[in-house]
Amino acid sequence: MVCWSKKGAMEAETLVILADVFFLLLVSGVLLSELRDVQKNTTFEKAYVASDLAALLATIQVFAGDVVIEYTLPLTLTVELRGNEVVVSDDGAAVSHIFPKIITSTPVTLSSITKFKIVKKGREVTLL
Amino acid sequence: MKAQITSTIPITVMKYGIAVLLVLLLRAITPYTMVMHVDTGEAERYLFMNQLLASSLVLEKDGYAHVGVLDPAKISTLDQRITYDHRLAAKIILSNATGTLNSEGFFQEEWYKLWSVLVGKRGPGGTVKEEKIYYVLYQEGEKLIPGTVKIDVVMPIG
Repeated sequence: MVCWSKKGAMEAETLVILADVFFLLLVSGVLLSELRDVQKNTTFEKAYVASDLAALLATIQVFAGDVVIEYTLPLTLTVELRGNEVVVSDDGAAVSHIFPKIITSTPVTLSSITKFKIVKKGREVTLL
Repeated sequence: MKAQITSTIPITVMKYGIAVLLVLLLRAITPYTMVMHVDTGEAERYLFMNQLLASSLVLEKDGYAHVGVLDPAKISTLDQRITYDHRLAAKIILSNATGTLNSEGFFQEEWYKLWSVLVGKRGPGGTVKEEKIYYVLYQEGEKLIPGTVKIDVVMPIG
């Protein structure tokens, strides 16, 4: 048989309250991080830039000669080229898009930029 | 006291349940309130076809790329020359002008076979197929033969 003392009951109650507080903080954290992403409302821009860059990189690889394209972003973003994937991010979640890679791509990360160059030289493509 | 704690358990579970539901609801509503994905699938399929005809299948001879002239030997080695993960798969059939098969090959054959049975299924899990026939020349020995190349591209939805 379990005996419950007054002290034990208070400890149990404190534990329940602590669990409540912990869970409340956890849920608030998740909600706030979701809201932060939604409030910034940049997911469309990131998805657009990632898709557009992937299509552009797929296209310029086929171009016979060397080519340099100046690309202006709609807002300050971080653009990363890794293998056959373009990853676009800001402070929130990253959005990526892949493209068919037929020539070498040099991995590069351009942090917080509004303008950059897509360079295809010989059989190599990169961002500068 | 034991009874008091036992009685608080359902209330606590309910509280936590409501909180979890709230988070899930927010996640479910978000895609309806903002654009999360830009569907460029159709453009990518056509771009891939054009890329095959303008670069990956093109005959290279004497230091020149002969656009519009295909090299049949390149059809079977596409997987080694294009990196595209599992975004799309394709079947390429090269025939002469009378329709006699010259050569055929796949790009990501395993995925092509898996996805082509799902063509027409709507929504996530389904696939879409694009078929195009192009008139081309291809090399056979030292001759250039007129023919057609049929490119079937299969791509998962989403």
